[in-house]
Amino acid sequence: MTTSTQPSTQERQAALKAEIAASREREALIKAQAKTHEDTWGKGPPFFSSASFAFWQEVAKGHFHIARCSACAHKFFPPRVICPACWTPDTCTLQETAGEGRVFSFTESHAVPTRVIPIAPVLLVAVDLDEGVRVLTWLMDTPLSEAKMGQRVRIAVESVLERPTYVARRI
Amino acid sequence: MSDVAICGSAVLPNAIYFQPEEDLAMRAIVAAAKDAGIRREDIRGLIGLTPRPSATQHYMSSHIASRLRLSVEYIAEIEVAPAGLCNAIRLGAAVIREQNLPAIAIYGSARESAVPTGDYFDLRTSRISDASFNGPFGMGPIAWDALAAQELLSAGEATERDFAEISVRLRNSALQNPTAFFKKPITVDEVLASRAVASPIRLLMICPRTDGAGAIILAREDIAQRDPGRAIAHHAQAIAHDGDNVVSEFAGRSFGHMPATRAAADKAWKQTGLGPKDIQVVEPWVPFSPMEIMVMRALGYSRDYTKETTVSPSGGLVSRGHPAVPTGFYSLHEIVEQLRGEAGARQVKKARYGMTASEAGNFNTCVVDIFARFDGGTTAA
Repeated sequence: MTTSTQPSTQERQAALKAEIAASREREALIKAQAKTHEDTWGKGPPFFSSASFAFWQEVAKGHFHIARCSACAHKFFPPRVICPACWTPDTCTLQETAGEGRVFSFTESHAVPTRVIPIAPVLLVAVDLDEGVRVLTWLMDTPLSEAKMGQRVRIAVESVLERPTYVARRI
Repeated sequence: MSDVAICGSAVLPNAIYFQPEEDLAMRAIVAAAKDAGIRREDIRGLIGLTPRPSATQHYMSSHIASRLRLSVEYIAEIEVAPAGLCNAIRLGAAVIREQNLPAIAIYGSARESAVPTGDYFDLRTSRISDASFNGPFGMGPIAWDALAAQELLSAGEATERDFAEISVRLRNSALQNPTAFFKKPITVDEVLASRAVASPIRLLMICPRTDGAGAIILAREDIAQRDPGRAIAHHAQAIAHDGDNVVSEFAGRSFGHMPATRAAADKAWKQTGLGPKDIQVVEPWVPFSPMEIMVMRALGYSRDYTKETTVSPSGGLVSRGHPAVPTGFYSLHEIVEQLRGEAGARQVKKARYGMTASEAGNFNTCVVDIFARFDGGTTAA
């Protein structure tokens, strides 16, 4: 049943036209981003997404960030196109971080993708950053016998297998 | 759901097959129809689990319907994850009721051996949790189960020996299962001496990637009544997703406490009025031995769960084998055989209820299904 608060058919059609125009404009920008992403990273991984485009460009320059929603200020990781807290699209911005936190759990893994075999086994760690978000990465230069739950670590970008990669080191 | 029942079930032995997926599937469908004692003309629907992209034949269900000359009024394919077989049973039952069909066939098949291990890691497991942020670091099912297992060890909730003992128990069960992949016994010492894959998980705690196929015949009540002692009712189903990734967005969240499994189990207990100790046999989706402790805890069992119910008498994924698409059929087939009283040396006494708990490949989705004998009775002592 129609109520006075619902938009009219004309208003719906006008809104749809505006959304189509905005979508075309957005896609033109994203197409250019996708080209830049592929020039930087190849066909992936990391795979292109408009939400993580800026994050990976910064990683390529040597900087690690977490994500922050410009609408509701929620901090999260990894970057994504819809804010998981307020569901606003395209509000993912980069938030500077010291990259410091604690190891929540760890495993020394031999079961790795083909590209990673030259440095296997890797010490895979789930790091809980002080900002309250979790990041999965490698803990470098740490034998399994020295790995500890709760270990303080700092995440930063280093060159690993000739690619800029965010990794953790003990502090 | 006693108006619809599973009247036929069949699985092919876990093995490495050279024949294509569609041939494996057709063998399973025909065997399940024979097990149900049903005529081809009564199979009026076909639901398949979509095969892996590596399968040579696509549009598999349409192809199989043509090759088996199955004239059907309903046909569909369902993505295997999350828990495709469970979704297919629910869909199939609804279709039988809505269209008053005598029976439908549900099938799945896979040739894991057609996918080299490198491709398996690069193109499949690396892309499950997050293909850009987790996969490139080597995060796949083995790794996240290892992170969870390490949590158990660090909290003093389990030891590596506990994990090894699970592998040994599952292997001993598999020795009694003619469709299981592994045929030789193992010892705790052998498990603990096997190669480390992702600490603390070792090779003999990991499921083998096998090939296989399975099928069931889901039928209307009048068909089930022909042989009510062999028909199996789908007593209840509960599904949950906890709205998080296996690598949680939130600091501090456990890898090993499986909130989706707990939520699905709680819902199933409320729906049925049953509790964990009312279930005589459980076949949980456990591809790595340590996960059994986590799943059973989340389902509501105590740490001594093997004293409360029989877990994975088939040998489970770890010893029976894990053909990734049709694995659910093998778990269900074990429940069907147990509730019929046809499990031979593996038979659980006085079986009345059986349960499967199916994971989607990570800890965030769970489907709990409870099955019962159609006649409401139990198997013999």
